[in-house]
Formats: sequence, C-alpha cells, structure tokens
Amino acid sequence: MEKKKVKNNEPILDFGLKFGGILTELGNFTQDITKMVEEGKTEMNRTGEISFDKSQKRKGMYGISVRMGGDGMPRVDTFGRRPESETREPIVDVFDEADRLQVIVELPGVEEKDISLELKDRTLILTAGKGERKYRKEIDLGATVKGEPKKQYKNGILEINLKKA
Amino acid sequence: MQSGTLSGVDIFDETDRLQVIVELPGVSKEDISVNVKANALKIVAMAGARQYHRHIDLGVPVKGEPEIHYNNGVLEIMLGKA
Repeated sequence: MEKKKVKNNEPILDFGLKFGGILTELGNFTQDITKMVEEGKTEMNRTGEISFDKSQKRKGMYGISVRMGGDGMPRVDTFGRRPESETREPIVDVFDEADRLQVIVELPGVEEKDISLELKDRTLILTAGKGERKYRKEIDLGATVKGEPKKQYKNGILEINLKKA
Repeated sequence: MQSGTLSGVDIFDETDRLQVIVELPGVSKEDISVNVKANALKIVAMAGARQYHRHIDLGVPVKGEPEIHYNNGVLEIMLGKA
C-alpha cells in the first residue's frame, strides 16, 4: 500500500487557513451540542476534511467527538489525523465499572504486536501502528490503577481492562 | 446527525483500477455489504450498536465485481475502471 501513497505533505495552505476551514465546518458545534442535549443523545461526532496534497487525492479527516457523561457533563475529544502529523489520535472511550476500568480504542489497520501501553499515574499512554498508520493518545483514566493492563484486539478495536488501585 | 462512528475513506487511482480503503472498526467481514452502482460505492456494515453507512463517489465509472478484503478493521476494495 505504501508505494501508491502520494507522499507530499507540503501544505497547500498554511495551518491557520486549514484550521480556519475546519472551524467553519465545525461552526455550528455549540448549537449541535444544545440540540443533542434536547434530543437526549449521548454521542456525536463532527468532522472536517483536510487535503494533504495539491491534487486533492489524499485527504485527511479531523474531528471532534462529544459524549455525554453520566454526570450530564459533555466530554469533548479530538480524533483523526492532524494535518501536520502522520500520527493520528484514535477515538477512545473509558468506562468506569466499580472495581475496574474498561478502555475501548478504535485502532483500525494496525497489528496487535504493534500496540503498546504505558501507565503513568492516572494516564495511559497508547502508541500503535507503524509506517503509514500510526496512533498515539494519552488517556486520562480519572482513577489510579494497579497491575498490568489486559488487552484484547479484534477487528480494529482494542479493549483494555485495568484494575483500580 | 447520523448515528454511528465516522471514519476515514481513502481512494487511490491506479491507472486501470481504483483502490478504496475504508475504516470500519468493530465489525466482522460477514457484517459488511458492498454495492457498486455506476460511479458510486455504497457500503453498509452493521454489528449491534456499530453501524456504518458510507456512500462514496468514485468520480469514474467502474465495472465488474469488487474484490474485497477486511483485516483489522480496515476494508480494502479493488474496482476495475470501466
């Protein structure tokens, strides 16, 4: 797959303009959140497209994911591929389940052996993939954990189980 | 807002064929259906709460049966140009 990819990261526009475009796409975000609350939805994603090369053949995607927490507070996360980097931020969900935490990460296109996890206090640092598909995310667990994280990867979804300290 | 997770789509133009890469994490190969109609590709994948509906404009007409591979949450479709 690598050989076919158009390898030209030279920006067509400067980042300011690029992000300006994204912000236009994401423009009615506040309104959307209000609507989401009204309709009782718990999850919403908004995305914008980013062009990587002049021919517009390669496009990136960058978005914002909003999820309602049990406390009624919206959690806003970014995901997608930043225009200045080949490393992407995956979509992550953290579930608090009494004595343990379950973390679900969308990591399409990587091999299980290329996934690594590192714990630093309440933060789980995830790096995955190689070559053209690379992911990295620092996940705030919101609780202290103990022991080794247990992981399971299937069909592009990584499931991590952690014991609370 | 449509339910389901949004994910990336890449289209690679290779002279006599098109390669389409679609990220569909969390489904099995059996859950995926691919339909080709003139210049467009319709992909539907449903696995419980995870539902994907993708309508992809290919830009050029295609012919023949699509060749499909699914591995680690990534769907790869090869299409012959008409």
